[in-house]
Amino acid sequence: MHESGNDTERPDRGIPESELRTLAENYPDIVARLDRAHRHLYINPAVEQLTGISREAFAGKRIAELGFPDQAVAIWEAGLERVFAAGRSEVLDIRLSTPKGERQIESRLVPEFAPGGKLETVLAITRDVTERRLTEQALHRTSDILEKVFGSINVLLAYMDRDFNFLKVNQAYAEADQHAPEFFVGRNHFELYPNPENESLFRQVVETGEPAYFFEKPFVYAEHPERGVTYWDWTVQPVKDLSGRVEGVVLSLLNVTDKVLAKQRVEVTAEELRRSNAALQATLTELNRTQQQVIQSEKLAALGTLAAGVAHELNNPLMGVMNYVAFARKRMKDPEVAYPLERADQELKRIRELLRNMLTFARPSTGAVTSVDLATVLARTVALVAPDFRARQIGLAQEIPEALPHVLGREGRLQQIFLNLLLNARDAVEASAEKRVTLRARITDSAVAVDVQDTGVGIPEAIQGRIFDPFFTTKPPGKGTGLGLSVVQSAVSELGGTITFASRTGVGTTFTVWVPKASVEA
Amino acid sequence: MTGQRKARAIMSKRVLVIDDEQAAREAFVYALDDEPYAIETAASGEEGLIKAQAQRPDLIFLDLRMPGIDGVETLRRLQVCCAEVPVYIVTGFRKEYVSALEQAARDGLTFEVTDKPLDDEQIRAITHTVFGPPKTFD
Repeated sequence: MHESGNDTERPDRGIPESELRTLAENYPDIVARLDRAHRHLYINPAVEQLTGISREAFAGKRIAELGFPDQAVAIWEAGLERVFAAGRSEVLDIRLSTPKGERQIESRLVPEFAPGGKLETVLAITRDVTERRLTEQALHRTSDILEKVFGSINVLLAYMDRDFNFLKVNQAYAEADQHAPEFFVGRNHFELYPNPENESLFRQVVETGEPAYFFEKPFVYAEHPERGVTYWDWTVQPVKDLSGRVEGVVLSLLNVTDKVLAKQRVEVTAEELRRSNAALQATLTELNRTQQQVIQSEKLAALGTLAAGVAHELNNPLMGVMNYVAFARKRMKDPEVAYPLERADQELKRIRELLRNMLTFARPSTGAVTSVDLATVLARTVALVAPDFRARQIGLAQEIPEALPHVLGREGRLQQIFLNLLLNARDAVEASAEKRVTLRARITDSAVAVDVQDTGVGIPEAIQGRIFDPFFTTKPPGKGTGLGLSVVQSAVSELGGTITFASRTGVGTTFTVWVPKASVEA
Repeated sequence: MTGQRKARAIMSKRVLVIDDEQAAREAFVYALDDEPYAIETAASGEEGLIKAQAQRPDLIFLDLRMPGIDGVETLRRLQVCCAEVPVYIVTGFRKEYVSALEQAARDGLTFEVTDKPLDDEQIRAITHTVFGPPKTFD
């Protein structure tokens, strides 16, 4: 604060005394002239504003006589002594109680040399610097805080000029690229990290004065590809001077790689959850379906038991009635009675068939499952139905490969399955223009598939779910018992096979029975 | 013994029907009405055994499920008195008796099994199988 001044050649020598007086009278600082006895020879009106004491009260008075605090008086007097002694100007810092409160003032003591070099007076120029000091302190504090934050924060910070030359980077910024902060100063950001896209974004900030923000921007260190992709939140803040002109930019970079990766993991987990949820849903659907099947099979079992009981009990009376009627027919010569008896006989035989089917349906047969020559079974079944088909002018085609492997099953059951399907096909084509039934065998890895395909009316979609239900029939009364397909299905599943069908109304139906091969290698 | 049987054979063959169901018994009676056989019926296993011993039939139709002793037990006891008489088991309950019948076969009993209901032609076919086609004397 002290400044040296050997002011023998002062530039104000050319200003007339009267002008200097005008200047002093109107100067905002307190201007006073004191002699060697520290008496006021002159003081300007500014003193009244600071001290509340009229300038007249100062005339001829020493500082100590004006009622200022002792400490302030002592500083002034010592200062004056030194300036008179040394002939050099000096600046004093003084705290002063005034009507405006505690003020910080600065007194500049300037020696005045008379012509001939004699030092008779000192000019004291005193200024209230309270506000300036506060501002300086605040500025200092701000700058200190800024420096500490800048230095310690783990956000990467760089201050650049308008052309993106680094002016200052923090430790975090420097460390991220494994350099010291000094390395960056004076270098250009985009020479160091060329990226036309980013450069244009930065330039936009400079030109518009609007900050820019980018979130989770991926970045790969060109010189350190081994670090992989990192993710950063960017802000580019314009730094403006008082006129609003952009002087530079502060770039801040926050590494959010962990957050992004965590988010990605969450997404993956969520996706896995969605997938397993879907799988669970599918399982549930499957479970519901299985449950329906179980209910269905339990229903069938209960129905089967009931049917078997009824069928059994009916056998004895049926046997009696059949023979009573047969006897009556033999004895009855009256043609009027002969006809109803003949019909009674036919209908009784239908009842016998119905009961037989019900018993088959009700109970799994007990014979052992053995290796069966499927070709023979199919040939026998075809032989059974062929005359009937011929009589009805239904074409019966066979597509049976040679060397058909043996299958696992019971011969009687297999024959019953194909017989039922062929008779169903026969009934299905009855009303068709083209009456054709195809019996086809196909060899798969573990099974033989047998198709019974017809050119019949097809099964309407609405009833496709019910065709295997017992007593479900679409045939006119008297044509079918409604047990055929349920018998077939239970026979097929009893042999460990499956039965499916495909049907199109007006085109025809294909039933396919898969029977397991007797030996997979065969 | 041999003489007696021969004498009866000349007269007519005897058929014994053992069944607790009247309809079943009468089915045989009516089916064989025109055949030259003498038909006897019994409504239980016990009655059947008494009639078999007394009348020495040439063919027995035997029901399985009957109150009292059932068909399989009747079959075993028939073995004591009439081992040489062919027995046709006629039943609606073959499956329920499979193991009992298998055991009987293993024990050396001989029999045939056929399922109810039998119509008149089937009944006659069985008798013809046993006795040969009927001869006409007129």
